[in-house]
Amino acid sequence: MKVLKIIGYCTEHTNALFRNNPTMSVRRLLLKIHFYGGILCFWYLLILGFSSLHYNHHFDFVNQPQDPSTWWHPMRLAADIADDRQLTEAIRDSLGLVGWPLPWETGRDSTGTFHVVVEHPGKRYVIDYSMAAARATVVETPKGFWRVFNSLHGFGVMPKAPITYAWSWYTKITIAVVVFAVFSGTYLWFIGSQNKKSGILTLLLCFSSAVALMLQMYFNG
Amino acid sequence: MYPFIRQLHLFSSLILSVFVLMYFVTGLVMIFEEEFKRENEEVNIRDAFIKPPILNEESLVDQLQQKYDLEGQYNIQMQEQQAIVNFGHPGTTARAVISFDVDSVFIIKRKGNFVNILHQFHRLHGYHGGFNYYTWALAYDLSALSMIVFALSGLYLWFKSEREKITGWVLFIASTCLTAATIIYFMFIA
Repeated sequence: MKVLKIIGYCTEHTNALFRNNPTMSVRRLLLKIHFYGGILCFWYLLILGFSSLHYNHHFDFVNQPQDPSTWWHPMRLAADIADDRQLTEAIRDSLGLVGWPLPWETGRDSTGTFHVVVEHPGKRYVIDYSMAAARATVVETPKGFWRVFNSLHGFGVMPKAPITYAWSWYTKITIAVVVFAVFSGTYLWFIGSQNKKSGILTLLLCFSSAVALMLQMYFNG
Repeated sequence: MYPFIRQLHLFSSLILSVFVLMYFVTGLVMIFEEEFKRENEEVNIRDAFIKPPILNEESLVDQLQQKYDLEGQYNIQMQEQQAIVNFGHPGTTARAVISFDVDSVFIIKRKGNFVNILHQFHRLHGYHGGFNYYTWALAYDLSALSMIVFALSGLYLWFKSEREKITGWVLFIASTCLTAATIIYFMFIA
């Protein structure tokens, strides 16, 4: 009952708002949100479009090899770090790098050098840390523009990279906007179009074909 | 030009709305992955393997599909004494390990839960695996292209139809700055 009361209250006040402001209608409001949401997500939509095409076709130009550069840094870490994961993170942090260490490429060789690989969308770092020589040698390989562009598809939060928090929010906003845009766009077309027949036919045909394909793949593979 | 772009924007969305929605809803589930449980049903089969008369990738896959009811797209890794074949379609994945030296096959069949099925629909791509998969890959490509079409045509429609453009420009510049800053950060700063 309380929910119904709240809905009634909101509807009444929204109607009052439109009565007092004749230039604003539900249609106009939806159109504005549709437009502005779309503009806000413009770049994300381009990234989604491009990266999805790349997943299906594996464009060569995206994976063009880049020239690596090598540098070294003096480093003396506490000798009592026994856990490989903690040591990896300590090396990464003392070098001032960000990214995810790759556990399957981490290990020690016979000379006692600790080998670590750290990656993020823009670079790959191969690090050899020699405790005896107290230094880390880093081979830094940039991945290039297109791999960064491609990696931003659904990219989440990366530790110690504050900008990725903003990006993760951008991802969520884009999802909300696109879902809203599909429904609001259909509604706006439905109330504004003179000739609905071809649109409804297209919508029904495509909707039923898509659902049938999904069911077919689920049940019959 | 304006009516054409409007029709393009409209009909591409009407045609692909279900696919676009599916990708965004399944994407949302992937982003909030930790909130969902992903326990799958698993069935293991160990059996004697009878070599087909001609041993090649196709005959191997045919035999596995017919005898153990394995379906979907597959990839195969052939080694001297062993072959590993992975099958997958939304809902079910299977891994068959065939040991030629002892003529045995070990199959792990996983029936995914609802969230897993959404994941598999989201990740399904590639022009291989038969008619259904070709159709899916085509719809996938069209959905990807539609993202680019929606963005460009939407921007054009806004620019042509709205008199007050300040809000739009502010949002466009904000999203451009965030995207550029993130790319620059990964390429040059991090």
